[in-house]
Amino acid sequence: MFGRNGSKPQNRSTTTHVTDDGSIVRSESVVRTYTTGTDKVTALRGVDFSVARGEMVAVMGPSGCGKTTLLNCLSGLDSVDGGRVWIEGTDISTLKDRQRTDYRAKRMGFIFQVYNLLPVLSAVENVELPLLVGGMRPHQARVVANEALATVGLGEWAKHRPAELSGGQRQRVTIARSLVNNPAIVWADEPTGALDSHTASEIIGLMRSLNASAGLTLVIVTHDPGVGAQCDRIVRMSDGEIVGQDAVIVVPPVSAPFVSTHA
Amino acid sequence: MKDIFGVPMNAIMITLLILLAVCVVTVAWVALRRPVIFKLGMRNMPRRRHQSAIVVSGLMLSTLIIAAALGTGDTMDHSVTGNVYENLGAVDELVVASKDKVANVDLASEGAFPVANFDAVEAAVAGDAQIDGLMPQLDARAAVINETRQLAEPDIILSGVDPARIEAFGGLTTPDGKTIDLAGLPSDGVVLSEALASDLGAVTGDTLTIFYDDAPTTWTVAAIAKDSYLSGTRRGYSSGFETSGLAMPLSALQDLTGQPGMLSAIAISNAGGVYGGVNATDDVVATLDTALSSQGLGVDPIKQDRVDAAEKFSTIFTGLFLVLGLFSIAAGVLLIVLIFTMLAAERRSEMGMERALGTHRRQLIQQFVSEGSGYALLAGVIGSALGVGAAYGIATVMSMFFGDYVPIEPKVTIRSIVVAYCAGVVITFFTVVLASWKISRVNIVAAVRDIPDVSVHHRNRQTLVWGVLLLVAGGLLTFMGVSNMQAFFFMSGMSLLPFGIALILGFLGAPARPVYSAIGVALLVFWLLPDNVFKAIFGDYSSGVELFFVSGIVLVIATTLLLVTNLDLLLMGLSHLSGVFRSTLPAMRTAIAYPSATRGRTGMTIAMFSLIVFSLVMMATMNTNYSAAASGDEANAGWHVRADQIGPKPIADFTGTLTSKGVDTSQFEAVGVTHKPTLADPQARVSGNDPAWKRYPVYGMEASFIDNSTLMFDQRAKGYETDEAIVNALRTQPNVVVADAFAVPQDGNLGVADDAFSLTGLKSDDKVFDPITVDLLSPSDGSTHQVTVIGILDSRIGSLLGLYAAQPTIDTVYNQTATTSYFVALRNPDQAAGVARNIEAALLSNGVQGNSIRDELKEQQSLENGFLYIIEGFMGLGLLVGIAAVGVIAFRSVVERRQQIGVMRALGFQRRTVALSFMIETTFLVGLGGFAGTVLGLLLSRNLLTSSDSGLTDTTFIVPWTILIVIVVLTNVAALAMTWVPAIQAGRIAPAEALRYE
Repeated sequence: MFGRNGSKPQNRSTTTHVTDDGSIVRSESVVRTYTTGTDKVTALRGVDFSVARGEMVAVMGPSGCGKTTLLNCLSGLDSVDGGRVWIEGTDISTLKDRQRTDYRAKRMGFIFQVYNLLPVLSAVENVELPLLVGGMRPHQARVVANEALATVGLGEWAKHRPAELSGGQRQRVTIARSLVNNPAIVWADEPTGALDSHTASEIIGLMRSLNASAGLTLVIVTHDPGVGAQCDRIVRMSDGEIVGQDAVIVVPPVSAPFVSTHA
Repeated sequence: MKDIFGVPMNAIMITLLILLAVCVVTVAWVALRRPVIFKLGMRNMPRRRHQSAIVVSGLMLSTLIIAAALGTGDTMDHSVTGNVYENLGAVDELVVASKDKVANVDLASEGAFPVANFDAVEAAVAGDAQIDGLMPQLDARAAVINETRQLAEPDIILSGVDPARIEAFGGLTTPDGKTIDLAGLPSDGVVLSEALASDLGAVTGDTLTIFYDDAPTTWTVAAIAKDSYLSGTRRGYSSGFETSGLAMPLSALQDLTGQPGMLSAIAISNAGGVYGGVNATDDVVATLDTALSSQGLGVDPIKQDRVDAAEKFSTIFTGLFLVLGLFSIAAGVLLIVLIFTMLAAERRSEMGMERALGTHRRQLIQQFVSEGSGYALLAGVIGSALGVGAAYGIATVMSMFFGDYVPIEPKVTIRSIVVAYCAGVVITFFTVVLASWKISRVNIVAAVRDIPDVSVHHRNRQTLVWGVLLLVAGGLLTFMGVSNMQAFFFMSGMSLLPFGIALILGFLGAPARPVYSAIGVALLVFWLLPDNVFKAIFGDYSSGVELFFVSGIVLVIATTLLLVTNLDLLLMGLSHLSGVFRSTLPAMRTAIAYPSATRGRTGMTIAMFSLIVFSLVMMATMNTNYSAAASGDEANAGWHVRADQIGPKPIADFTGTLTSKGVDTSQFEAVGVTHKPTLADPQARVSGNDPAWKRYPVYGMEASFIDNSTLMFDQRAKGYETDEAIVNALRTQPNVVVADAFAVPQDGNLGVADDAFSLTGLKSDDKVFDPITVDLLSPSDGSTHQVTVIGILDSRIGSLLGLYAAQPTIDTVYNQTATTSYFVALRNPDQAAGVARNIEAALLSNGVQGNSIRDELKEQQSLENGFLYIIEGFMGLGLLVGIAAVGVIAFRSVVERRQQIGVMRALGFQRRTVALSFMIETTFLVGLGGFAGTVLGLLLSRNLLTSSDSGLTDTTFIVPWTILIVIVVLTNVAALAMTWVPAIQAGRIAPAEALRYE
């Protein structure tokens, strides 16, 4: 990955912490309820979940099953109403907003759908933003951000604004931004949702290669079975609960990935 | 108030009502023919109430400002004309000894005529249904002492009225409305006007000594009456100041003044009452002219003239407020455009979808116009109501400053409210139509996908056409300006030409940045050229107050163009600077990125603040510099005390008389004497140029005054190239005069001096001029005498106003003296007030009134400052526009950027960092606009104040730092306060929720 001094990826084992069971993310009985008007909707019903260091996990399920809510609660974007969430051994469910925000800035990366770059900033300015939030010197941040863009193949597009980039390019910028602060884990919500199949394949390939080459931990919420098939594990959700977990075995060379065992 | 800028108010109202009807009919047509489109537009109002409230607040400001300006005019009209009606009561005309029919006859000085004339007039108009009362009267001026309280007044009016006929004129009444029986007064009884009673501390039964012609007589206060013409209260036509007085039976005053059987005037009351009688004045004057043709008498239509003057005054006042309010109205128009641009930005996807489903562009326009009209009609009501409130507020402040001179009573007419409402709605409607037309040019695909429009620059024939049209229009205006030497046309034309050239260059493919930067720089240089350089290059153009508005608009456009075109360079610098404060860098980065990305919006906001701050800074700077000049050491011409004596018998040895009465004259450094030949201003005109006689003060200077005054001159006639040469000529040459700077016609006076005497043909920057011959009319024999103006007094000498000649010259023309002023220079000027009091006390029986010149100048300055503070306060209403704009932008930005705020929060932006980003953005926009406005205001003020026709060429330019700091701090604090709530809201947006937001 990209060190704060602009150096190439460090040994991840020196920068990540794991919980007792070896997982980087662990949740117990996570409950999240929303109130819409007079109705209460329980989006998560006591979810237990864990992700191992260096694992690439897909969370799949039908619309409204709670995938994005799970990602938000695990990443600290949202608070939980019950249960606990540990990231690298830190119980983020007990942290205050300010602490959770700091934690996100320093230890997490996010990939959203294509429109979640700041349109008024150039590609490199978008990528360096997490570094600036973390307090890095502007000049140093610019060097690191340019390296991150080069890694995702956009070195030449650094000064372009999102509106001047294609959907795939924009998502590469998002990936560069998610990696630039050397995160313990990257959360991706429908990263290929707005892309054509070819571009989606390129993007997921890029994520896979980063996972493989740098041991990046990724949790991906997706509808796309093709994306799920590229992951190490698929977690299936329905009605706010995890209903199954599948390990993915890739059968080379011609057949499509398939799901083997049912947990 | 009958008209504005010469256009009758009724015509304005009818025109605006027609325009309003056009707007309403247009929307009604949409509602009937395209009900769905109408509903789509109108439904947004109730659905988005919070937003609707913000929009209405923004749209109402133009209406508010117009209503406040018109309401202030109404208040002045009502107060001043009301004062005329209240003072004159049933008196509509006066038959006087003067034949010139010029208003402001001073009865006490115009001469008397025998009572037989009254009988002849009464017989001549007998049976005329338009006249319901005649009354003989005699006026005199005198000094009075209240012996009971030992308080005195050196100059009062003695009003002798006929007790048998006074009832037809409403009679004399006490302040609480009881009738005073003048016929039943004791033989030594007089009726004091309320004002004089107050000055003398008098109550019924007090003993008075009246000094008429230096002879004392003793009287008793029999009653105190309401201030009115009948009770002796007179208001000077040109000075506007009131002189208080007392009334007594006609015969008693005839005896006192030694004029038995003589009258000063015959008061005429027309049928129709106090207010309606004036309508018959023209007919009555015609009747009287015929009746008086053989009697050597004239008619003064006193009420009609005073009412006309009052209405003219209020019209000028309204015009001034409206012109100065134009900046705020222009800013309000920008705000309307901004509001609708932001509404369109918010609904872009919706609009794209509608277009995709087959909605035509014109239907989108109709939809927006329907919605805009709804807001406009509502905003007009609220704006008018608040404008009326603002007018009442202004009236209250005016009453504090000027209430002692004219009772200010707030009043706003229905017509003004209708005009303000219609004007506000019409301005909003047409602005909305233009904004909607621009908004409707949406790229369907980009709008549906909610991605930015990709603007492709290609050669557009429309650009070329507009370029040519602007060139032609600019050329025509420039030509008109050069032909008539009118700065307004010349400078407007010259300002349009570069835009035409820019569009043509754009058509030819020239890059925008250098072209528009060059336009900005060129216009700034053109408009900010020092006066002498401008004249050397382009010539000497005449201008009016409208150029102030145009200059502000063009300078702000030029600066905004320059700033917005080069915003990225400016931001690059700021971005580097922000690196110093690393903790705020992310907030700074986003804060300056957003304005940079939305240049149109940024430009409008900067322009709005620039306009408002520019106008405030200009007004404050001009005021400060003129105040400083007027209160400088030069203002008193070297004198510290002035003692005025009314009457034809000056004190021969002023210093000796004072010494004999125990006044310490050892501190007198010099004494100088001037004489005024008539109480009312005599009549004068420029020989050959102007057939109409105008009233203007004329004074004779004794050698003692000429020798001891510090006389400086702004302009000198050929042959008198130095101040010494002029002063020597005054000493030695007959028939030469000098005039004060107010006699020189001024550009841009809003018609203030239309009917005042002025040295037509002379310009304020003619430092050397051909001697001007002026005719002076002798009131005693009607003969005309010619004198030559050889110098114009330095405008800083605020204590000398009028035409001044050596006393022998004045004696030749008038051969009489009405008042004498004794000027005293003191070794210690700080003792002026005390010396003035001592002189007045010692010479009370001579009717001498002592004045500290410094105190007079201070009072005059404080009145002028009070007026200017009111104007500045009114212009400060424009700040509401700017602050509303900041609020609108901030609230809308939070909505627009909700998802992006979610991303920022996900990336680690703390709540306070998000809020800080909004606050920095506001500071940046307001700061840039305020800075530009301040610099432009100071530069233009400096140019005007140091120009050769400012009259302040020898003074140092003063920057009003305190006021500038107040303006800048107030603007920024108010803007930040408006941003505070949305900024906090932005910080509180839950990231997970924002990221889901659609």
